[in-house]
Amino acid sequence: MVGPEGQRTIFWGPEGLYWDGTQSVNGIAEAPVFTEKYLTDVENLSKLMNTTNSFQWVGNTVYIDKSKTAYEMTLPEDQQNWETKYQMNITWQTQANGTEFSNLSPLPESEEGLAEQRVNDIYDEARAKALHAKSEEEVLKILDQAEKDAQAVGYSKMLEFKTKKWQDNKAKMAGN
Amino acid sequence: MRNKMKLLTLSLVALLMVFSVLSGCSKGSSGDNKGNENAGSNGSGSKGDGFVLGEDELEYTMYGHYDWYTMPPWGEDVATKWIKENKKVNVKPISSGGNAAQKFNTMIVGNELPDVIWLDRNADLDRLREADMLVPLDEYIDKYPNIKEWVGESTLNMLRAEDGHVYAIPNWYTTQPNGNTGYVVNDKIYKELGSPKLETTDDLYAYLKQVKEKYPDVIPFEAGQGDGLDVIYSAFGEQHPNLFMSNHFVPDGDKLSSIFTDPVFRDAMVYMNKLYRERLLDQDTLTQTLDQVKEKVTTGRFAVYASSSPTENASFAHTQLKAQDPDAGLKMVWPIHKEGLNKENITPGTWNQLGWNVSVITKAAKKS
Repeated sequence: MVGPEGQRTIFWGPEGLYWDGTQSVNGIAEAPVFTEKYLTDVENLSKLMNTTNSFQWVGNTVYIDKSKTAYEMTLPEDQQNWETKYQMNITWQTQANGTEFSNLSPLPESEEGLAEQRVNDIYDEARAKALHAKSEEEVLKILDQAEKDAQAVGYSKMLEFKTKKWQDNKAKMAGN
Repeated sequence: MRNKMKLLTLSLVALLMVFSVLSGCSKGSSGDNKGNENAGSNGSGSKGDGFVLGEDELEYTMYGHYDWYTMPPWGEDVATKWIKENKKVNVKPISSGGNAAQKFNTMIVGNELPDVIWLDRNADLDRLREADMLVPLDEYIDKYPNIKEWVGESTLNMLRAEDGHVYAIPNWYTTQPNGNTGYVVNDKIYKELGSPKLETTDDLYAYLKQVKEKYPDVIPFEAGQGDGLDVIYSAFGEQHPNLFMSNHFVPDGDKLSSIFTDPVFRDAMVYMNKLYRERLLDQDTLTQTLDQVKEKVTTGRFAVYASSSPTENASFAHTQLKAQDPDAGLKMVWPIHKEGLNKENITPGTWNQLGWNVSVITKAAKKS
């Protein structure tokens, strides 16, 4: 399912319905060529995609997104999908790669895990209090107190744990 | 080919399902996806090197490890029907019965694992691997090139377990940015107020004040269920995505440090407090339900809306509002930044190469 043929079949159905043949777009060798039906038979296409959504076990984001957006961009502006338009022009250009911050959390029952839970509670309370505070000075005082409270329940140790996992991720991604 | 097939263990068959199902001939990822005949031009030229879908029947069991997941019947929609008929693949669902944790335990204890499990990258995945219940996939990743080509090395490296093997194939993995985090502006109000400059945190504040004065029934700034606050945070530091605030840490050199002492966070909280005190920010931000947010957005009762993914509500709302009034509508704007920062380096959200969840192949696939 990982490859192009699998992706376009499990996402948009077999050839001859909503797509017919393939073409090269934006560095994708085999993007589907969408048919007229893709635009006019929205109801049945949505129905199909609602079902096949549950079969997306190994979705290939780049293939699907590039196929879809290349097609959207050929449409007149008022027919372009609202979301796709802004993804292309704004959001995809302004999201940071957060992969290196994946899976930093300690096991819940470990010492660091317990600290994480307590820090989360302290944070939630401090954020609410700071938002509702009467003045700028009060906001800063609340954050200073939250820092003290968090340190008292092991915040530093938890941050050390996450730092180590973060550094491990960076090394892994670099192939080390 | 048939002879060769018999030499392959059934676990390989299940693997192939993940790797090359629907990619047709797994060798032809560069365009020739149907022409099995062309396989001869590939390397050693031995056609028996791999499994070609559609030549032999292939059936496997698959369990989605989620309370909410029910796999639709295989072969009843046009997509899976085509796969069943043309690639001779059949997938038999194993249901969680609405209680994934219990089902998972029962399967492990009874040693009745399905061939494929679809699950989050979490402790249950570690548990399966540590119990030696999973098939390492490295050999097949080398053999069937789609994974390497599309998933990419650095993502595969991230998936590598401590023993150096890859056991999981990711879902919605990517090598390019995605995500929708950012700001949506109610265009009708914006135009009526003369389309003022809306780039910096000061611009935003001035604009929200104007909205409050002229449109008393409208929420000047809608921050969803608080995820919009994390978005505002990103305006106060370059390369400071919402993730730092929501995960309560911030990188400082090669260390992760406290969010409470982070100058960016402190600046942002002071600003948010000002919006809240002056009733520019919805007073129910930390307590409202998703439905309440949706209702406000789809009826256009807001001026600016920030969220980790505002686009689902906003694209629906845009269509609704436009149908009622051709001048109405919503638009997204470039992320807001604090004066003095480079707006090109403002990152409200993040994307992740690993995508969402993973598929693993169990050793049960060998025995069946």
